[in-house]
Amino acid sequence: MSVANENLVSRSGGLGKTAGIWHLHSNTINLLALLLLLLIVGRILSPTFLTAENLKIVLLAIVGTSIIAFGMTMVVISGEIDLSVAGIAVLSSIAGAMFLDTGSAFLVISVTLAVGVVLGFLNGILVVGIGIPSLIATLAMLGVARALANITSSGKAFYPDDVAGYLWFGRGDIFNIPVPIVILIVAALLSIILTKFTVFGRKLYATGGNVAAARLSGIRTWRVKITVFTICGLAAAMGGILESARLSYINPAAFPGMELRVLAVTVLGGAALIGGRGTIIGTVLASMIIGVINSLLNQMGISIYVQQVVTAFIILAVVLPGLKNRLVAK
Amino acid sequence: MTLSKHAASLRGISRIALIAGVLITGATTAHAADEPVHTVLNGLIGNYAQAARDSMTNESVKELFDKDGFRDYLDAYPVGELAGGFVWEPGMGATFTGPYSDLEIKAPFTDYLPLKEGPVLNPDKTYRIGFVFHGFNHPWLISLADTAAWEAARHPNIDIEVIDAEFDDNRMGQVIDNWVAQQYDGIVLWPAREAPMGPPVDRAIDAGIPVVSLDRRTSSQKISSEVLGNFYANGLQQGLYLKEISDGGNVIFNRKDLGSTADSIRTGAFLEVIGSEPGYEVTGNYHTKSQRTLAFQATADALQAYDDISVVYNTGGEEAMGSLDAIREANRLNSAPGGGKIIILANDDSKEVLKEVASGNVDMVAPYTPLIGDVGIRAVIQHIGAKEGLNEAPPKLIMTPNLPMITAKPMTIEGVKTVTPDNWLYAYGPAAK
Amino acid sequence: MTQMELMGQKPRRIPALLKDPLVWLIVAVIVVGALTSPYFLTPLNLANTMRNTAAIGLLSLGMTSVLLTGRIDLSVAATMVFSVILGVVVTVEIGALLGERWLVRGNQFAGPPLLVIAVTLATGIIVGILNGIGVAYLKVASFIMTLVTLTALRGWNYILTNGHPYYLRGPTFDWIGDSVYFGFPTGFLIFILVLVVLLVFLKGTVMGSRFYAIGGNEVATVYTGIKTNRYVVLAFAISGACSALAGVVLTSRLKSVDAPLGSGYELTAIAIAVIGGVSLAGGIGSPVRTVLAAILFASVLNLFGIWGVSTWYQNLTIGLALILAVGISSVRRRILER
Repeated sequence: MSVANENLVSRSGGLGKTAGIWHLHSNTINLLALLLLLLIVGRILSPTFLTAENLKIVLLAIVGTSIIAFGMTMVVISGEIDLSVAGIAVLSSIAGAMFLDTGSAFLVISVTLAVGVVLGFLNGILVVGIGIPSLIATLAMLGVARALANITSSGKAFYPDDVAGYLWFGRGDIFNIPVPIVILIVAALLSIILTKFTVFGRKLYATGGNVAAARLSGIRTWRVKITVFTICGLAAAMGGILESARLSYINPAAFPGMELRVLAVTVLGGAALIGGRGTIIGTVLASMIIGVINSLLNQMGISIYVQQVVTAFIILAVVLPGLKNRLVAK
Repeated sequence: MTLSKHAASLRGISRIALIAGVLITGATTAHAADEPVHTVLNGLIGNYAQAARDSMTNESVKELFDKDGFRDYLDAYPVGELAGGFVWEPGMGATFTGPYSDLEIKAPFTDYLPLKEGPVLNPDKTYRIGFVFHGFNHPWLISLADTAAWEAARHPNIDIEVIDAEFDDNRMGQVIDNWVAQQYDGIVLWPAREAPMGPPVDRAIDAGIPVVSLDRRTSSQKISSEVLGNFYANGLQQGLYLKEISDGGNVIFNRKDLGSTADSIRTGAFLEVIGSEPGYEVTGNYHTKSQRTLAFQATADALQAYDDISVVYNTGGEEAMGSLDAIREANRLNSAPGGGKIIILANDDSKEVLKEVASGNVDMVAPYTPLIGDVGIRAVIQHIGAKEGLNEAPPKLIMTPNLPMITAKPMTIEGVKTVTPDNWLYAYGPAAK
Repeated sequence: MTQMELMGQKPRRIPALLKDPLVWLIVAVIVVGALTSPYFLTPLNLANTMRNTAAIGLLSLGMTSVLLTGRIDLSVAATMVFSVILGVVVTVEIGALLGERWLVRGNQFAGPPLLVIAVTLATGIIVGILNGIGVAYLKVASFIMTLVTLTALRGWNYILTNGHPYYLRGPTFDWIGDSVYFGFPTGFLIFILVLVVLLVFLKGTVMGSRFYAIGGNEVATVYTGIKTNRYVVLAFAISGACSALAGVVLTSRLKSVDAPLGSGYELTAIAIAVIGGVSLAGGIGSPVRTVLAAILFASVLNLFGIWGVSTWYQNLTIGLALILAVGISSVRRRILER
């Protein structure tokens, strides 16, 4: 969905305002403000909302979606999209589960991550190598991955109760911080460093911003894209591991509709599907915003259906203000 | 939007007659421990339904009960005797390996509406039967398919086609229409939702093909038979157990999707039982749509919002496991007021849940066995036979035997003898390690 | 788009169709089906296939009109269900204002069918217009705008109905859902009618050609003074109308509307449009080929059904086929571009 002349037009004005070396986009500031507002509202409505215990719960709830969203953000910055993340998460975790009998958490997790990497790489080949639009390629991959997960597992679930190492990823803790949260923080830091402080990161934004110009300046955009698809596959596999370890349940029907949740977080975080825009920090904030909203509404006893409507409007409310200067939006 | 009584339908009238009969039976069998458990539970259902209709003194329970329109659903749901005077005792049923799950299964009702192994009806003819359901990758549903396929395999002149419609009701209708176009001999379905399945079933019946539904119902009035599960006895026993071991407390609900039979009847029955118990308070009400992660999240959030939860009510096994995981993760298993354990009530006798009952984490589970596919297949075969003039047709409403609840230690609650996990032979699903 | 079309001339359509791989694939499916099953070519089976095409085909047509302008509409399936639900709710309210009870026995619709269909269509169009305004005037990316609509409507469906279905019974719905004319089901005929209307609009009117212009090069089109925003809103309105119509056709067949219906159908609609040659970047595509793609999709599914192929293998095959089909045309395009 990257049209060269459209990018040129929208580059004038819009979200490009940055502040110093930290490149804090005005969008990010909006998100931060919204998050703080929500936390304050939460505290008013429920005195226990800002306790460490509650914040831990909120963070744990968003771990899977967030980590996958980091991968998705990078793909979207490069100007593409990955709808297959739920399929990669489930197929990779089923593949890993085949090795549960060995009792080796290392083997199970390695296989899971490896399959995620391979599937992500395949997405990259389809998009860059063959030239299939990423929406279609990853949509097809989603269907194929889910079907394969069902077929190879014959529809059966796995219980990793015996593999303590695996369970540790969902239920263990490091210095009293739950492992999933530690992994989330590490993943966020690594992603921020990759996107903001490396040459690769600059190439990534250049590729998404204007693919033709990037190529002309010597960037091998095909490499950039394959890399981010591969990273996204890895992220999907990792997210799948954390969720499955927490529930001690690996099943082929897992993560229904996750791709839409991850996308919602990604676009709320400021990533635009034309490419060249978006930050990991934005995604982190967006993920926390949605997590806080869901938790707050749950605690207020509001149905998940109402939560859906609220989430939809929040996305709209956040996305709207920054867009008035754009001439053309696709 | 509430369903109002199907006052004009025969079904309603016959149901009232059934309830009357059940009430009478109930009154006389309330303390007769030798009565089959089916009759005992029917009696209790009748009693509590009547009591709830008269009055529900617990305001908080009544509010939920009225809001979601449970009265109409419960009134429309049949409760009655077993076909052919069948009496079921724990221990009955055949043991085999599930063709899809590869698990050892003991199916409780293989003697219900019995059919001998070997060729059926016209031995020179091959009969094609279509079996359509959802969720080949769901442990309850794959067990349903297991029993159906097993029954079909017992008869060499039955060809069964098993199709998963992946929770797309429109697709299930298309599958049925497809079979009608191919002139299949019989159709058995597990409908996820009632309303959309009525028209395709009607079309099949109009084309002369017998149709039997399993567990959940369709909106078709013409359907040949409905094999009904014991949703009512499920919810009822969850309420009975709770009343037995506690006096009150805050209850949070993890329910299936709004509008599904499973949710309406189980939750409604539970609310009927505690409807006039003063101590209980409906604190949280979540629809977690049979998804473990959603139930996990809802329970985690509820634990945050309230520090005085006494009871977690779950309409299904997935919900129960999700909420148990959440409670464990938050270290709140013994955080009920007074330092007691949070009472966790569950449905669906999966091996996973049973393990938790045995270890005391889940307090009770009301079995809802998926191992009823074979009953549906036998019913449809008998309908085909009736069509060909070879035998009598089975009744339109085929009740499955009410099953007693499972508790860690054997108890007798209002005449119902509970079973311990070790003695429950019918648990489905893979064994949790 | 062919060279002749770009030059504004009407190309010789029939020979073009005969060369179209979609037509040959459909023929192949029919031949294979006829050879492998005595039931494939029966009037009932053909009618079923056509009925199965109608709802998803209408969604794909709506999607096509939006895709042509270079946008996307993820909310088509949610709108499909929402428009019928809101149609019933609003009509019942109108009835109440008139002193009538049009919802009986809790959830059976008993009011005038033509009115509820009209309100349904109006709802779909309004949703489309809202999407269009968001995209064209508020400059929200269409992916995001329609993702928002999708999420909100799917939640609202449950809130409006409280999880219950509405039953739609009566001769009108029976006629739309079940009746057949010369072997062609009414739902399918409605679908073809919409195709004709859309085709005439897109290829035969100036306004329609603007859709292609906007998709092809929006900036240039803006600079020629055309108010592109109005056309974008129109495209989304058309999509909303198609979604609502799909809802009428689908619910007439099911004689009910239920909140969980049509889940995920938007992705299928996109896939069908792409198979039909619609470019996701905009400016390229034909409603005729979208319809052919929809017919191909439904016939393949029907064939799988007749063969009794298990659902997982069906999904696997469709996913791989999608990759193959779009992959081949992508590679071809790349070779041509060299």
